[in-house]
Amino acid sequence: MAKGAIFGKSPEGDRAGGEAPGMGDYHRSIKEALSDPFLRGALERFYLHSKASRPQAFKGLRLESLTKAVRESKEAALSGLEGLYDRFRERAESKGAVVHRCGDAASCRQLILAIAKDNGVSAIVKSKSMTAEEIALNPALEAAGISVSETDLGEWIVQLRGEGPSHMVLPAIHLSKDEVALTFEESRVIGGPQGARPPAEGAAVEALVRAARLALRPRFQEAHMGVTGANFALADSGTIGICTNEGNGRLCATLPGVHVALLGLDKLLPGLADAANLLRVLPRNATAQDITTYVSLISGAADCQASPTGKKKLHIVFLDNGRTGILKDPACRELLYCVRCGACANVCPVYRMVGGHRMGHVYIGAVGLGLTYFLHGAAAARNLAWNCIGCGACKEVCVAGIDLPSIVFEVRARLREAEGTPMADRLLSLVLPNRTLFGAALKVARIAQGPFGGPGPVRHLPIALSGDRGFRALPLLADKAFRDSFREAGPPPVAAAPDPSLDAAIFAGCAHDYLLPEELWDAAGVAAHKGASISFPMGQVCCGLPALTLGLRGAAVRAALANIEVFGAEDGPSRVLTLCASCASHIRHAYQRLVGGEGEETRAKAARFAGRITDFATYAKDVLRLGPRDFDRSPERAAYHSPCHMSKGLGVTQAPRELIGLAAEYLPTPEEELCCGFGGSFSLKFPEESAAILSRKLGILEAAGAHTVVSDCPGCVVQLRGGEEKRGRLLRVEHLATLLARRLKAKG
Amino acid sequence: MSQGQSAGAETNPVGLFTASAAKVSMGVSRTADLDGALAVALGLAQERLAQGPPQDGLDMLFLCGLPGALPEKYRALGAERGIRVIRDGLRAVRGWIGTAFSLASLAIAETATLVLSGEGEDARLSGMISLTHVIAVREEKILMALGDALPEVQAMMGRPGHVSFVSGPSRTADIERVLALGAHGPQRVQALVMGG
Repeated sequence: MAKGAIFGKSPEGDRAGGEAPGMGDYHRSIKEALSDPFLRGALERFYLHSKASRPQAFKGLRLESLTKAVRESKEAALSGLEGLYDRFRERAESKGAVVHRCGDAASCRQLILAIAKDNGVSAIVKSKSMTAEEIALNPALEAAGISVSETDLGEWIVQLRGEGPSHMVLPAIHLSKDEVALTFEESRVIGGPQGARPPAEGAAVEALVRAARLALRPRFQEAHMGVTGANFALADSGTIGICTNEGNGRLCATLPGVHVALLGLDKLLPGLADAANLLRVLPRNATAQDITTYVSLISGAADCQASPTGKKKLHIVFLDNGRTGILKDPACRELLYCVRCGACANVCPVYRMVGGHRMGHVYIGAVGLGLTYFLHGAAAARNLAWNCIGCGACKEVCVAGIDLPSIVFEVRARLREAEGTPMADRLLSLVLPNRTLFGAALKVARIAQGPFGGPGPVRHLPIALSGDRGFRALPLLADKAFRDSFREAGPPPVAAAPDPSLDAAIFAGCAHDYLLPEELWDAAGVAAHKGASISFPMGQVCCGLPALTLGLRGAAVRAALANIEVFGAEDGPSRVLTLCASCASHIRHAYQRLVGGEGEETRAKAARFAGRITDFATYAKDVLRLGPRDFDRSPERAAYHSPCHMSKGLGVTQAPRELIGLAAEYLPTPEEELCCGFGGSFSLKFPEESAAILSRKLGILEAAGAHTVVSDCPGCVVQLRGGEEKRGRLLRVEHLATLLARRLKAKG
Repeated sequence: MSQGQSAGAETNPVGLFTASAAKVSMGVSRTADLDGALAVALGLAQERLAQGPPQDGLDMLFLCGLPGALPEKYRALGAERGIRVIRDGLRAVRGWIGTAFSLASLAIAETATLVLSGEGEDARLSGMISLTHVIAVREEKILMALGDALPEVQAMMGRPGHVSFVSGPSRTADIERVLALGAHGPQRVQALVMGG
């Protein structure tokens, strides 16, 4: 497979269902990845290994303050970028380097080709550089008759295979050692007349490394020019810094007479203290090392016996290629904070299933989704940008604290605005923020689903309006929406002495209002049991998150505006209870940004609503103060599925587990915080990935011997329950409110 | 205390350096002075030669940046033991040399990092193409944290050339994330703490 040839580049065709061109190819490629047992095995080992080793690397360190230091350092550098560039150039050139700046990929390739030609170069050794991948440097050099040899082991392996890297730090992580052995045999690295002896069956990694070491050593000797990337450039001293583990970067920079260091403008930093911030986090987050084996700080031209002048010909090439555009883009500027550790891929549930050739273009992982749009253009990002589940694992792991999910949503909105919105999504955009239209649309859907459900339209909301691929059983629309039954029946009677300090207004969210109203009744019953009075303001609409994930920014803003009128008014309810972690996280974190352009009063309402919104577990534990005496504890083993928007979005982790323990036997299981694969529209756009993630999740829960799986987000409940139903297994899946309600001790 | 400072129990630099070195597969031993350090290096060069595999350069011990008569002393001692002590000419070596000896300017205990000022191309190369790299550092030059080392590193960067941080042997985990030592550079790095 050719580098970066997978997405967004195929000709028109494949426009089924209003999808962008190339989407069909993209799905085929994803399915291929999902059915490749070697890839799945390699990615699974990588995921688990990364997850286990990272906490060790940060043990005893204050990660929050490290992240803050990186952000501040990056922000300071970016706000004075032009000055830094000028200073760097002056200092580096005073030490004998030549500094260049290229506006785009084409001019950068031409420049490096010209440097090679000027120096009569016919062979180049190269250490790993994502920036070189970005500009497709190797093909340009090779087309000019220059041989280019990658020297980073992983990068060399993918070069031999004619692939691009599948991870920014570990380029060949998609391959098993047996595949590497096969590649080496086919390339005559082993087994050939000049190669090392072939490794025994089931090649040992060490033997492969030794074979590569022997094969590459002469290349260093023969090359006239070394090309490297750089991890940072320090303006105060004109120094570039290169981090490697293998030692190939130092050889590339030392042996040949010419050294070209290629790096993005975003790598500029003021001085050594900034580099120190980076060095503290980059290796730890990338590979769980305290430091890379080598950090080379190169200040100007060192002595070099291979150069006719006795001094190294050092060319430092800065690439813009869209970076100064990102700099002027407040919504996405944080992309330039990226230190290229690759951790956003390491933790990504989608990457875990399909790897970097699908979850990336040149840049990989969540940051790749954003960077691709800016550095490679809308066409390259067109399909890729949708392949994010929105779980927030990347944001949580990012050592520069980049709000990656928001940037992905922003890119989607821009793609929609530039390329138009498919009919189904346009309809959604009209209906979602409008409760009258919404209700009417649902009535139609409810009738269409018929008395037995059947294979009719999807009945989960708001995707009820956008078609399904049917890989899991989905519940029927409720006969009566929560809002309708609440209007008729009113709140449940308060069972204890009324305590107004416990009162809450319910924000239902579409899933609970129309699909799972019984869970809201369960929650209301638990509240009433302790003396709380529950209200339900009828003016509420969908929270708007589904619209935002579909790139429908206008609809998301309208939904936010409608809801803050109801829940953010100064005299509005002082506590707003929701059973949906996704709604709560969206309201708390995104509303103020979404309505940011609407004036001070509106922003104040959004801020008030953000402060009032409360998830059910926090409400039950901290407000209702439920305790052992409230429950008739069940002996069933209840596992917990921690919703992404609960743990990563709201930071609520302990309350749900404690509450489960009050009502049943809480059974800790591995990977409780692993995403279920729902992600709203994600599960419809990428059902093959959603199904694979779900299957992993359910496999863990079943193996653990749970009777019940408890969660606290309706999307997760729908996904897990639907998956269980399809598998025909016996796990009971329910919302935390339901477990608590059914084990509540009757008031004597 | 810097942000990077480990919360580990070690409070003295040599103790912390030794604990960190274990994490990066780097050996640490003590010697009284430079003479003692060179004696250790010669011993390790013999060990390397004995281990093979047979190849050109395996019998070489590269010494650089050393004052006075010590290099001559070890040239003679080396010759008695089948070790060629060399001080230049590394570009001509096609593969690897057996052993290189370097003096670090300073060390950072929290990451077991030795800081080398790459003065002279041969000196720089020796750390890349040796199978065993012996790096000596004076005990009082071992600092606790990266932050403590910055002023001196800053001064070293004032001159054109390279400053290298070395923390253990060359390594790769590019295949299945399995750690393998000796990717392109040394398979073994031994730190020698001089003094005390």
